[in-house]
Amino acid sequence: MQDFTQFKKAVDYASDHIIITDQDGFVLYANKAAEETTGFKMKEMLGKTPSIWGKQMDLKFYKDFWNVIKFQKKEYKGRITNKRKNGEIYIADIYVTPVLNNKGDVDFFIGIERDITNELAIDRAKMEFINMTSHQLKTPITITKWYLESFMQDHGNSLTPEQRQLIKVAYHANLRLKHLVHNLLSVSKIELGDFPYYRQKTDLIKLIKSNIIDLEDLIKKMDIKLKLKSTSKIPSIFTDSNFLSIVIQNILTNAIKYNKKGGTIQISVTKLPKTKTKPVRIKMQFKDSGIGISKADQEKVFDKYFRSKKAIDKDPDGSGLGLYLTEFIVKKMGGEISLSSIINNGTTINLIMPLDYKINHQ
Amino acid sequence: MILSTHMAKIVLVVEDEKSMLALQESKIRAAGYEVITAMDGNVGYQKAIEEKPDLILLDVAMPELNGFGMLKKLREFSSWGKQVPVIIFTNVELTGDFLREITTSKPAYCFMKINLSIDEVIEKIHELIGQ
Repeated sequence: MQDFTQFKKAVDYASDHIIITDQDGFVLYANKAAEETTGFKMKEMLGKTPSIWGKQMDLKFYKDFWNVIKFQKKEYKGRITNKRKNGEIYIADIYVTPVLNNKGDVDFFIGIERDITNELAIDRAKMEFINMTSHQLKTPITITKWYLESFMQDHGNSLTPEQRQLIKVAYHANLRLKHLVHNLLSVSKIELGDFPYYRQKTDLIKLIKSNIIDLEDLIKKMDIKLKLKSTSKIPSIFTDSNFLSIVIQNILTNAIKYNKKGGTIQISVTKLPKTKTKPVRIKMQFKDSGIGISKADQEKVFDKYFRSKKAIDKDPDGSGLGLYLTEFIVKKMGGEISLSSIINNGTTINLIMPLDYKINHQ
Repeated sequence: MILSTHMAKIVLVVEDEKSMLALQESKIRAAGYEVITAMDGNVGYQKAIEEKPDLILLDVAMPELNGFGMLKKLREFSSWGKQVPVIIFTNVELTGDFLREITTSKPAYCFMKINLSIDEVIEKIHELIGQ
C-alpha cells in the first residue's frame, strides 16, 4: 500500500499533464499539471470528457483519434490544439494509451499532454531572428561582392599572382557566405510557414540542363563527367520551378562536391507508369561515383544541420542545411526523395515528382 | 571615348546604400551613360519626373518612400512615367503575387542584386536602352 501511495504522489506531482478516463472518455482522475494546463480543477473535470478543454481540431482529427485508441486499441501520439478554461489556446504533444482488461477490452485510457506552446514560440522567435539577420547580411555581402568584382576588373591585370590569389580567396569566401545566407533564409522562411508555391508549366530536362550550366565551374574544377539521358518523351509537369530548381541544384552540388576528382554523374529522367495507387509520375535519378554515405549516416542526411564525418573532411564549410531543405521542399510539392549509397562507391538520389500538384486554392 | 552629354542616355539610380550607389554610379558612367542619383523614393520620384531619364534602377528597401511605392506613383501620376523602363533591384525575394503585380506594370524587370555582378547590371541596361 505504501508503494501505491508513493506511486500516486509521483503521478499527482509529475510535470506533465496526466489524466485517466473510462472507456468512453469520462475523466476519472487528473493530476496537478492537468489542472494547471487546462485551468480546470479536478472536481470540474470528473465525469466530463476532455472536450471541455478540446474541440479545437477538425472532426476528422477526433474521428481518427478515437478510431486508433478505442477500436484499434493502439496508443496515439500526436500534436493537438486545446483551449484553457480562460479561453487561451495552447498546443500540446499528446500521448494516449488504452489499458486493456484480460478479455482484451478497453478498461480505461491514460492521457498525457505536454504543453509546448512556449517552446514553439521560442523556436519561432529564433527563426524570426535568423530570418531577419540573414536578410540584413545580404546588403554587405552584395557590396563586398560587387567591390571585389569591380576591383578585379579595373586592377586585375596590374596585380602580382600572389595579390590576385589573395583577392580570389576573399571572393570565394564571399560566395560561400552568400550561399550560406541563402540557405539560412530559405530554411527560416519555410519554418515560419512561408512557402510561396507558384505553380507553372515546367520542362524538367531544361531545368536540369540550366542547373548544370550554373554549376559548370564546379564541374570543371572537379573534372566530373556528366551524362544526362531520358528514356522516352518526358512531359512537362506543373510545379513551382524555382523551388524545384533549388532541389536539383542541391542534389547536383552534393553529387559534384562529394565526388572523386575525375568522377562521373549519371542523370536519368523516366516516366513512371500509372499503378493501382499512383498516377503517372516522373522520376529523376542522380547517380554519382563519389565518397558515399555509410548506412548509419544515411538515416540522418535529411536532418537539419547533420553532416557526415566524410562530408566534413571533404568540405569543412558546408552548412548541413541543403538536404534538409531539399526534402522539405520535395514533400511540400507532393514529391518523394530517397537515397541509396555505398561507401567509397557513390550515392544515388531518386527524386519522384507528380505531373501536377496544387496547394490549397490553386 | 568622350560622349557629349546631349547624346548620352540618362540613367537614374535610386539606392539608399551609399557604397552601393557610388559603385553603380561610377560603373554606369564609365559605360557611357549619364547618371543621376537619389537616395530615397520621394527624391527619386521628383528627379524622375523632372529629368525624365531613359531608364531607372530602383532599389526596393529604402526609407521614406520605398521602391514599390515610387514605381506605383510613377505609373499612376505621370503619363511619361507609365512607359519608362524600370529595373527593380532588390535583395528581398518576391513572392508570386508581388512579382505578378510588377511584371504587369511593364516595362519593369526584377532582379536579385546578390545574384548579379555589376557587369551584368551594365549588360541589362545596355539590353534595354542601348548605348
